[in-house]
Formats: sequence, C-alpha cells, structure tokens
Amino acid sequence: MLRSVVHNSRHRCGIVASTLPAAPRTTLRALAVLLGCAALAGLGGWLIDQPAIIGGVEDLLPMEHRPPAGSHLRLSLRGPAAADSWPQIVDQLGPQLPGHFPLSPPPAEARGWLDAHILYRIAPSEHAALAARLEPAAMRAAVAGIRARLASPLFGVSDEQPRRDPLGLRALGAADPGYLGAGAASAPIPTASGDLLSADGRTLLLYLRTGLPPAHLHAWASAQLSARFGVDTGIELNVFPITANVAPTERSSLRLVDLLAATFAALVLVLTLGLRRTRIALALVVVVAAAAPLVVLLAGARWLDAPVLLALLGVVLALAVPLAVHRGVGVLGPCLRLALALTPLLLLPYPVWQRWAWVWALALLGLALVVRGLGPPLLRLCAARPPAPRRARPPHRWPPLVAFAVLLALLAAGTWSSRHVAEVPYDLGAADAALAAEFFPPSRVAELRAIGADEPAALGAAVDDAARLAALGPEVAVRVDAPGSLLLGGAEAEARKAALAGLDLPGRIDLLRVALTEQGLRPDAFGEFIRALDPNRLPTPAAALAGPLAGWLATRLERDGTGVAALSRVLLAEDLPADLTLPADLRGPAVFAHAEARARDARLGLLLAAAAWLSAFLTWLSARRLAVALTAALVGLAAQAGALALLVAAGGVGLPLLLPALLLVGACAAELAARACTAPVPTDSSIPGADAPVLRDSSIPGAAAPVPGDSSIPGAAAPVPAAIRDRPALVVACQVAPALVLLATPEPAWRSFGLVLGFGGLLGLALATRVAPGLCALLRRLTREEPRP
Amino acid sequence: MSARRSLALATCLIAPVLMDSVACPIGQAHAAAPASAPNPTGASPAPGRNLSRRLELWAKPLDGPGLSARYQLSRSSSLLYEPLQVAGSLTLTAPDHLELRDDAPGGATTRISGATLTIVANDPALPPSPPTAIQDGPGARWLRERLFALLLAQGPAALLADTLVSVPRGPGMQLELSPARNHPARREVTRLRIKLDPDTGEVLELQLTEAGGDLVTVTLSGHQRPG
Repeated sequence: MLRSVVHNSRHRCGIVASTLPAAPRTTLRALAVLLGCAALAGLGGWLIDQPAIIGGVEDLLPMEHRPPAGSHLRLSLRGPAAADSWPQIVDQLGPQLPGHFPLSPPPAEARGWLDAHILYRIAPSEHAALAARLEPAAMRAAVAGIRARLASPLFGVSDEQPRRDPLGLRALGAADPGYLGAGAASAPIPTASGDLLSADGRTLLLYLRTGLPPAHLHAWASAQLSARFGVDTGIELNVFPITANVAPTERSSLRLVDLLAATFAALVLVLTLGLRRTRIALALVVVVAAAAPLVVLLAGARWLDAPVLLALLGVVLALAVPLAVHRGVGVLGPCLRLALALTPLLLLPYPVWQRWAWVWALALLGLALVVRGLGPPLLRLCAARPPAPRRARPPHRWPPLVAFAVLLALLAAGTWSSRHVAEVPYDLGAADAALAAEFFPPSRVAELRAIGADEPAALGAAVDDAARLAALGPEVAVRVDAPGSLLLGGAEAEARKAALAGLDLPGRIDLLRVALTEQGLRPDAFGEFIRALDPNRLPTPAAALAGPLAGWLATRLERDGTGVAALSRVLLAEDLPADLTLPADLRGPAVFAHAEARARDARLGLLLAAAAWLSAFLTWLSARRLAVALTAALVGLAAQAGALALLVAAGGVGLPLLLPALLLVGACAAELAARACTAPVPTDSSIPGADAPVLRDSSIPGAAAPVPGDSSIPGAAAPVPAAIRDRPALVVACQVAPALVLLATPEPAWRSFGLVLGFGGLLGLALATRVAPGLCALLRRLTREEPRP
Repeated sequence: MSARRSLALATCLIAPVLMDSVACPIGQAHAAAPASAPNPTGASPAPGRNLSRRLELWAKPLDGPGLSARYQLSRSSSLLYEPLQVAGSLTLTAPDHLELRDDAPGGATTRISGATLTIVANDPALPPSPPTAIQDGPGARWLRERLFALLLAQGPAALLADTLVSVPRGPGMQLELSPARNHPARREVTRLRIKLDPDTGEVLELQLTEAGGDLVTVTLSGHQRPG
C-alpha cells in the first residue's frame, strides 16, 4: 500500500526515481537550511535587542594609550546632615573602597620623608650655599629670626615651618613634587589618604583602579558612607568610569537596528526609483538585510562602526543589481577593488580602522556571495520583471584643459583644507567635563612604566622616569606624581653622601642646639630636623619600602610574571607646543593626541597617496591602460579633496573619525571614472531595442560584453544592453542613501561622515562623467598611448 | 505654689544658662548653606538671642575707616621654654592694610597688605623670611578675613562666612569663631576667641589656638578710630 502511494506520487511529479537524491542527504540539507534560518532569525532577534549604541572617540586610541580600567568617584558635600562626618570621610573613605589608587602621596608621610632627607634633596651644585647656611653666625641669625617672628600673631599661618626647617634649607633643595608643593589657590589639596579635596573643601575626588562597574562602585561607596560614617544624606556621589575599558558611555539614544531600518528603507526607495521595479528592489534588500546581522556580528556595533556599516550596505546594494539580476557578469573586478578600498587604513595607528580594513573586505565579499547565491532564486520566485531601460543621455564632457583645471582647483582646495581640519578631542566624555574645573581632566594624565626585576629595582628605574618628567617643565608637566621624585638611585645617593662628608655635620648640630637654647627655644622641639642632618639616612628605594611610604609605594607597583613595574603619572598641559617631544614610552590619550597633531599632515598624505596608488594599480590590472589608471586615481583624489574642502567649510568633526568615508569616496569615484574612460560614448541609440554597444573591458561593471541569457529574471534571457547595467547614478544613489540617513542623526560625527560620503559621492559622479573622459584623453596624448582596437 | 508655676519659674531661670553654654547652630547652618541653598539676600539666618546681643554690640564701633591701638601679645608654644611676651602698636587702615609692630628690637613687624602677608624681624641684621601669599594658604586667608571683619566691624555676613560661631562659657561678652568643618583652614587654625568690651563693643582680646598647639593671646587697649 505504502509502496504504491510513493510510486504514484513520483509518477505524478514526473520525477524519475533514479534521479532522486537519497533520503538521508535530503534530510541533512533541509536541516542545514532550517538551522541557517534559525540562526539568522536568532541573530536578527539579538540585533533588535541591542541597546543604544555605545563607544566613542576612545576607540581610535591604540591599546597602549588607553587609560587603564578604573573610575573616578566624586563626593560633594551638599547639606548639613553630613557636615560633622565630612572630615573623617575625606581622610578615611578611600582605603575602604576597592582598587583605591591615591592620586597623591599621603602628605604627612611624604613631607616627613622629604624632611627626613632634606640634605639629599640639595643638589651638589648647591652644597656651597648649604655650607654657608651651616656657618655658626648664619645659624645664630636664623634662630634669632625665628625667635623674633614668633612674636607675630600670624606666624602660625605663614609659610614658615620652623620645626621642620629652622635654617631654611628647603629653599636650596628640589621643589616638593606633585600636589605636595605649593600651588594656586584653586589647586586641590591632598587628603590624609592621598585623595584630592577641592580648594573649597566641599568636593572629594577618589580614583579607583578597578574594572568593577559604576553601579557596583556607587553601591559600595554608599554602603561605606552609611555603615562606617553614618551618613545617608547630604553627600552627592558620582562615579565617572574611564570609558575606554570599563563601561562605554552611551553616546547616542539611537539603536543600530533603527539606523539599519532607515537605511534599508532609503535603499529600497533608491533602487525602486532607479530600476523602476519594486520587486527587484525589495528582493535585493531582503537578501542583504537577512545577512546583515552576520555583518554586525563580525564588525561590531559601536559608535564608530555604525556609519561604516551603513556605507557598506549601500555599496553592497549598488553591486547587488549586476550580481543578482545579471548573474554577476563583470562584477568581480569592481567587487575586489571596492573590497580593498579601506586597505590603506592598515597604515595608520587607529585600531578600529585597522580592524575595519579587514572587516570591510570580508563583509563586502561575503555579502556579494550571499547576493549572488540567494538573489537569482529569489528574483525568480517573486517573478520580477527585468529592470526598466535607462533614459541615457550623453553626458556633457568637458574639454581636456577645462577638466584638468577643475581637477587642479579641487586638489588645491583639498590641500588647503587638509591644514584646517579639526582635531579629534581624545577626552573621556563626562569625566573630563565634570572634573576639569575643580581637579584635572583625566584624559590629560599619562603614565610611564619603569620595569625592574623586583620592587627596589623598579623604583630605582622610576627615579630616571621622574627626572625625565620633571625635565619637561611645569608648562608641559603640570603635576608629576612619581615615586622616583621622592627617591635617589643608589649611585647618586652615595655620591651626595660623599660630597656631604666635608661639612662636619655633627659639629654643626651641636652648634645649632646651643643657638636654639640661647634664644629660649627648646632644641628637642626641632628633633626632627636635627635627625635629618644625619647623612647616613639615604633616600634609597629599599629604605622607602621599609618606611612610612611603603603603603603608598605599593599602589605604584604592579607585578606580573616577568617582574615589577613602577608607575609614574603626569598631568599634561592642555596646549602642548607643537615641536615638543615627549618621552618615547609615555602613554595616555593626551600623548596620542599630541603625536597625532604632529603627524597629521604626514598621516593624511600617506593615506591618500596609498589609496590613489591602489586605485591606479587595480585599475591598470583590469584595464591595462596607464591613462585610465592615472585618470581613475586623479579623479578619486579630486573627489576626496572636494569632500575635505566641504568638511572644513561646514566645520565638521576631526578627520580621523571620517577616514573610511574619505577612502570610499575616492574608491567609488575612481571606479566610476574607470568605467567612464573605458565605455564608448553613449548615444541616444543606447536605449534598449537599439543596437547594444560592444564594450571592450569586461571587468568594469556594466562594461561587460553582452552574454546571451545572462539575466536571472524570467523573460529577460535576451542579451542585456549596457545601458541597463551601466547605471553610475544608481551606484552613487546607493552611496548617498545611507549618507542621508547619517545626516539626519543627532551625532555630529555621523553627520560629518554622511556629509563626506554623500557629497563626495555626488562629486565623484560629476567628475567621473564630465571630467574623467577629457582628462583621460589628455593623459593619453601625454603618454602617447594608442587606443586599443 | 502650684507645680505648674514651679516648672515655669525653673524654666525661666535655667533657660538662659543653657542657651549661654550651647553652641549656636547659626554658623554651622551658614557654612553649609552656600552650595545647597544660597541665601539670595545674603542675610544670615536669625541668630540666637545671646549671639545677637554680642553681634549687635560688636557692630557698634563702625564709626571710622580704621583703628589704632596698643597690644600685648603672649605666645605659648612647644618651641619655647617660656611663653613669649611682647608689646606693640596696631594700625588698621581700611580696606586691607594691617600692621602690628612690636616695640622691642628683638620683636617683629607683621604686615598684611592686600593679599600679602610679611613678617619681618625688627632687627635689620636678621635674615628676612619670604612673604606669604595669603590666597594660597587657607589658614592665612581665613584669619585675615576674620581680623578685618572684626576690627572694621564689617557686619555679620563677612564675619561668619565659612565659620562656625558659638558663645563660649564664662563671663564677659565673648564669641568663638572656628573654620567651618569642611574648610581647609581647620588644618592650621583651631579657633579664634574674641572678648568684646561690654560697653563699647570694641575688641579687647583675641585668643588664637593654632592646630599645632600654639596659643596666641593679643590684648588690645587704647582704641582710637580716626574720624
């Protein structure tokens, strides 16, 4: 019974039993298709569930220049409820929190250490002045001066500290480092724990070097305030994560899925109008949209990824028409050339763009394969009609000399603009804005790491780092927070000890005691200073690790498998001199910004030169004509220059954020220029039905020789005229559609990206259709290149 | 006498004593007010009765642009075997010049001029000390503002800014000022106690307690306010 049913059904379907695939193979294939569909559906669901786009400018920073994971915690006294506990909170809260990293040495311990080694803070060049101050008459006069000034009621609030330095030796030594030194009235004050208190005493800043999320840190600090200090109200608590590594800040309320939807809608509209076939447009967009989640998975969905992703979809859909409708005839060359469009980004040090150089190529080729594989069956399934014929008009081609002049003008405008583009502010978003006024902008902090086999060796190396940072001067290094600034290397300490041996310090101490007693002052009250005159107390790393600074030094030492690193931090000034050379191993966003400002012209030049060379080379590989290759490169370069000029005129954001757009503009313009140079002059007879022109270069899209039956649309089996395939305006429209979406967003960087992409695309089209043929003719004459038959 | 009357009488007797010994919250409220809820009129909250009486008395001598007086200074310090005693003359010229010149050649002359504090030994042979920029030192800044406000009777707002004020125990018309709890000047100055003349409201004595433990007492006499 069952066998007869199977037999009958096979006969009804007209399928010969021997040609049927085996049942298990059919099941596996169906399962694979089902799994693929389920995976795509899952990816789509994941994409829809994605929160708002995250990330920021910090994605441009190389890993070594990104700040380490951490957060700044700001506590502001807001009401009387917490006023009683505020002094204790200021001094004691920091060490109770995870990853507490003092922003300054604890002042009491650090000043005690400096005073105890006051002789070693005096450079050998000042030892003559030191000897003069230790003369008996000078010491008596100094002590008598203290006795006289003690009669002032304001002596206690003056800068004098007679217990620690009755002879004024500090003036001969190095200035107190970092926040220990005298600063402006608005400078923050270090607390007992090494945190910073604002000048008005109402705001406390803590730095927690931990990867814990902000909400966790907020809860931890609130719990400490409540449990340890009994404070529940009256203090405002803010956590500012360092966005590079901890928790990216939400930069836009837009979601990627919204952007994708808008882009696909715009592309449907563009394709429908361009092809005059709604089914083809819908089918192609559906194919690309189905594969889009895979691309998002590969490329990421951060702030800088979004505009490039949209541009990618536009380029893919521009290629989708010949890929799906005409079975990819003559599209391989353009696909490969556009896939390599972002390759020059590998030459620049921006990690996100280096990643996109690969991702762009892989995604574009992958999507092209998907469109090539799924497009034709889907078009057949929906019974799409062939695209409507294009009403081609012969473009007005400018004479060679006019074309050359236009090109030169654009290149000159671009050269001028390249010196006026804005710089990228490598800030840390909300943290910089909130902390800069009272404390410092965290993005201006840079770090040096001194490596040693153990702690004393690392601190010994950090002494050299501190000297290098101090040599930058206060105009560059506003604050230096370096353990090495409190220490001396072993050799230097011994050399200074030898130089001090000739001063007869024990005898001077006895004289000082006598002078103090003569003036009615108690020598024991000056014991701290008298002990500091012992030259055997060397400020070496080993002594510091065994002294009161050990706790603070532990926060400046990081251990890994190979050794110990000692951290030295410096706050760099806002405007660094352009010719300043910072230490080579200094790391931080400000250091990278300074290097970028110095190398901006060189980097832009390198990028554009590499892109132009690549365009010329790839065009020459396909066309084998030098004039065409040079024309493509020059037109691409001119389109980039024009887009750059518009960007400057419109006051756009920093150029490093827009490099992919600039490269895409150049690549698309070069592609269209090559097509225009190799295509025959269109005439009104190029409308379908008329004689189809025979194109010479089959590797240019739309320039392929007619292949009978190469269309995937039923009923379109006849040779496809070039007038149908050769739609440069449609290619550019697919580039402009995502640009318009970006222009409609509230993000300035995305708007600038859209501006460059859209305007550059239109300019490239104009240059390719009007300037390129004349320029190519001129170059042919110059290179004496014979037109091929 | 009924129990109610006894309770009322006892309350009337005890209340002034209690109010005299309790620190007035006005200063604390004033110290915390600026950031959270600044008073648009600049007026302080209503002070307690005792404090009001003292502030009213203190504000009396506002009849001249300056002050000259004699002073006796005593400093008790752990640096010294014995307390230091000096005498001298004080000259205050509005708005921002104050000089305290010791009579003895072994003493010193203290000058506040604008934002600069200098303390120079009277003996020119002794080495000078560097001038102090008052704006850079929270303690010097706080003390300077209190001294000028006190001696020029500039009004309660100038006197009580960033300050906790209380009425200490003991006889006489006294006020006690100390930096607000969150003020960095607390690291240098603990308190400033002021004794006022009960008749004229002139400042008779200033007692400064430094965070380092030194106690400085300046007794003023022979007040003259140039018309």
